[in-house]
Amino acid sequence: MKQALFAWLLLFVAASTYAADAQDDPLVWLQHMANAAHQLNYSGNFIYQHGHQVESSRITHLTDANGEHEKLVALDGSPRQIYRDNDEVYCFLPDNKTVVVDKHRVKKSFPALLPQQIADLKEYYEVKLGGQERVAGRDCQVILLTPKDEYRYGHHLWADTKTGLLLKASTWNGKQGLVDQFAFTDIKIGMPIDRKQVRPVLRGKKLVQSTGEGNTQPLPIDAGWKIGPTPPGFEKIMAVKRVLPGTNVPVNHIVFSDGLAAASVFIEPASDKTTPGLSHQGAMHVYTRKVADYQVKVLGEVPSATVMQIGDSVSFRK
Amino acid sequence: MSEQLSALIDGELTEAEAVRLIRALKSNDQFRQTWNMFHLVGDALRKAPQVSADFSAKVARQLASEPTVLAPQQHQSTPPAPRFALPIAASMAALSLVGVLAWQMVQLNQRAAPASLALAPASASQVAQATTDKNPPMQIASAQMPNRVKFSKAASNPYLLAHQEFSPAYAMEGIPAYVRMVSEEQAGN
Repeated sequence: MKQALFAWLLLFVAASTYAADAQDDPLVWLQHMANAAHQLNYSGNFIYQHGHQVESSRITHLTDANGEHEKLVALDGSPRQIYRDNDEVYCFLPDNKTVVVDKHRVKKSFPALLPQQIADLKEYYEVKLGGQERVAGRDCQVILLTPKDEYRYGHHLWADTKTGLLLKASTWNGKQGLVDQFAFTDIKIGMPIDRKQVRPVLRGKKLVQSTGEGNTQPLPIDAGWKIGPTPPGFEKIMAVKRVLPGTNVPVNHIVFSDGLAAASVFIEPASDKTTPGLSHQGAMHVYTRKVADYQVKVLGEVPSATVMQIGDSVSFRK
Repeated sequence: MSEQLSALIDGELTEAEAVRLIRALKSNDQFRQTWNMFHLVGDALRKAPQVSADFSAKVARQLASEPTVLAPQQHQSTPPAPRFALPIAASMAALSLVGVLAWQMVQLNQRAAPASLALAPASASQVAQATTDKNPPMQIASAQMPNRVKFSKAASNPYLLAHQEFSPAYAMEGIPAYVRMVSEEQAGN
């Protein structure tokens, strides 16, 4: 009896130290956060701020036996909506008549983040715990990711203490300060949600689907293109040739990522619409240039230096 | 996880993903057991000759007792699907430091003297292009001091949608990551 009690005590002590360790480890929080975002049911309103603009949206996320079903509906201005049904994304355009449908043909590890992938973030970010703060009436743990160079943004993340769900996130740039941020203003977590609520209504809408070669079967990208050197840590994670929704010309799509930030390179024949230059909205930068007779477009939630270095490193050799 | 392992066996992962998974395999017994199991199932299906259960352990012991041969051979893997032939890891290791310094220089130079971009290794392609191009001043001008153009939601949307598919931001944040897609165009941007 005494022995059994001792064993239980030992187990209890071990379990509580483990729990304490896990709570002190910011990487465990990140993993927790990534799991919560895809496994829990939740619904709530949130605001998104970029520049001098503030917009509110409503989010509903449901996970059931058939997978993930979710929607994001803009509450201000024109009624833009995004539905995601596992690997299918429905994007309702502002005219409210057209729906762009994107079916993911490339089987990917996302949305699951590997523990190793999270551990690797430490190479390019200083990851540490901040304080405890309240967001949308709930207690949150703050996690701070500070980049070690100027090729990626810093992130402040507020994770719900109880469930791990990300309730607020802000993006920072060394020079500019705050780039953009989103925060839930109210949220319900863990309640049942009717599947009907997250089913896109397509009746009477014009569906724009990408068709053609490269979509039924992803094609390898064109030979001769070289990209690099890319900024430190940005490794190629994907390269495929495909038709983008709403277009009919196949484009080469190559993605570089440091595990958290990602930049996509799109290479396609240049057209009248090709406008070289740099533009941005919030944290998203888009850099376009011409190489030979091709348009090279680099975009991602990264600083301008990153899209420009990647874009300028693109060359073509026959 | 098992889906990823099976993708690795089938050679469907990208290089970076494969490296990550192999690293995870090294440190996790459970992954390794699943990995062995998959191969065992595959062998059984192909009716491959059976080896003893602790075959791999024996090989490992044998390897451990053998002297190390110090003649490393370059590992050549032939990916099943043609992919972007670019030795990123190798070139990055060598060039990343140079790249950072050069880029910082470029950024400084951009403000002070726009004509000195040609110093940056990252822009070697542009330099090559500029020298062969019929209209070099235009090329250089657009590359050095990029036009600040207005962000066009309509023109960017197909690209944003395709980008989002592979962005780890969605993995970390879930559906809120799509907010930048639905966000309205900023007035006077």
